[in-house]
Amino acid sequence: MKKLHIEPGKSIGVVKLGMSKDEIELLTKNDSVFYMVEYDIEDRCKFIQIASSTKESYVCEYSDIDLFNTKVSDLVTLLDNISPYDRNHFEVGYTYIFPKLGLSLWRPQNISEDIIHEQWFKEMSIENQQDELKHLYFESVSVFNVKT
Amino acid sequence: MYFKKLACLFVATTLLASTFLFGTVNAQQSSLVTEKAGLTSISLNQINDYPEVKEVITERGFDYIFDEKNESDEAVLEKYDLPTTVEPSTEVMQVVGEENIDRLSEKYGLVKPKTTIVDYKQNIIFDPQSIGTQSANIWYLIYLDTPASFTVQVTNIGTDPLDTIRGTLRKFNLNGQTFSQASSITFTKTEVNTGIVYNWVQPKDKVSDFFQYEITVSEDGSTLSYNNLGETLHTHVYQRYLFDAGSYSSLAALGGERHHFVSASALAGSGYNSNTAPAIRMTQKDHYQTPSWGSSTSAVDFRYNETILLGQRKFQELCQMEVNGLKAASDPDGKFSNLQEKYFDQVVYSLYLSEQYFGFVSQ
Repeated sequence: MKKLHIEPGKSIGVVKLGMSKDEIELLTKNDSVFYMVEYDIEDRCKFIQIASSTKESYVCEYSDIDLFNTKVSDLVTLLDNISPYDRNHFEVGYTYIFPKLGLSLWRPQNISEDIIHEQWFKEMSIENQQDELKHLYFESVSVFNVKT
Repeated sequence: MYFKKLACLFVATTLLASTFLFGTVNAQQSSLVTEKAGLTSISLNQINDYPEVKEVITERGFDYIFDEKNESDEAVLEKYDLPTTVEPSTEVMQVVGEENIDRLSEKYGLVKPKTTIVDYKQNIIFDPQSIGTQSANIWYLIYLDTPASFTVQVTNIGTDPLDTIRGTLRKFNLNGQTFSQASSITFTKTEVNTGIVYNWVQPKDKVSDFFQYEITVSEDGSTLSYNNLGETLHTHVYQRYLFDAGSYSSLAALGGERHHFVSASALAGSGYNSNTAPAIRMTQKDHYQTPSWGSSTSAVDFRYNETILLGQRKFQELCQMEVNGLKAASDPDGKFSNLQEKYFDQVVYSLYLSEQYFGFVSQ
């Protein structure tokens, strides 16, 4: 499987922070990766995000860590050893922001593997149980400029 | 019982097809792969280039097709006596009731989606040698999808039945962002006269699906082939959706995703059980467009504002914010103005459920 490199505070794949909207549209015109990009008032890229569906075609790596195939609990520990996440963020458990890296990760549900023992989980259909367990992993990865 | 219904549908459609066949949809020729001497294939849009064919169609009472180009898909299916209303959303809307639909629509400024105009693919086939004679041979093919099936129909405007129609139909189901072939079928029918050539019963079972067809028509040794293999998703005529709404844990994703109407993090952070909260089944791509998805500044701010409004028990303002967020979200399939319109029924039902979930009535 192809690799997609994530450089916190810099880039995801071919898309780099600071690029113009035109540059990015040209670069990603035929790209199979679905980039979600935000621009500043000068139309320069200030935020790049990809969804976990990218892992169907790419291994999304930062520093040899597979960001979408490593469980949240393990990944946060690994990344926290590199640079600490913002422990005061109002959504810790769902959102992990690494301000000094320029990296953020998000998942819509805050679950742990223990949920398989919970009654509400057991009552769900098999499909929904599987759908729920995907939240053991992050659903989006983003990079942004590091504030100096 | 089901087969009995199907048989009735076949008979009814056969009887009605010759009366209502033309004039119900925009004419558009599907991909013409081969054309051999002996038969010619055109679309309704090309009819003025063939005045002699147009004259025969007019003489035989089908001239109204040239003026009618903008009927809704519901109107088209009703004319063919094909089912239009087996959507789960129809059932939930019945639960909500007209009064509540009107009340919630007015209160939250909901906009109904524009009536769908589907360019169902059609082909007019004729034998040029026969035009101008008493035995002019013209056939009309149309391909229709309904909430329950994919149907190939033919009308014999002339005298001779078509020798043979062969076809392969395929259904592709959406899972995440990928459509994969789920099933296919081939059929052959000889001595084809007016009526349904083939009705492939395929109820919706995924958040979205679409149909492909490859049809080969043979007549007096000539062969014509049609397909819609070149369509892209944005131009897909035969794409269907199976959206729904309900409490999060009871709602099946069916290849899509379950979008919490109010985000799970805001609910859980405010002491609510997000597993029983209202949610909408949507496609993954649509989910990415919702205002609370992801870790962009705007999405994080949106969820923060949800948390604030929940803390203040300002449920109506919260619901309005959700509606406005969906209004501001574009439809990745390019078929609706925005996600609020695309998911109109589900948004109404989510608002209805939100009133019960939070225990308030919108004022």
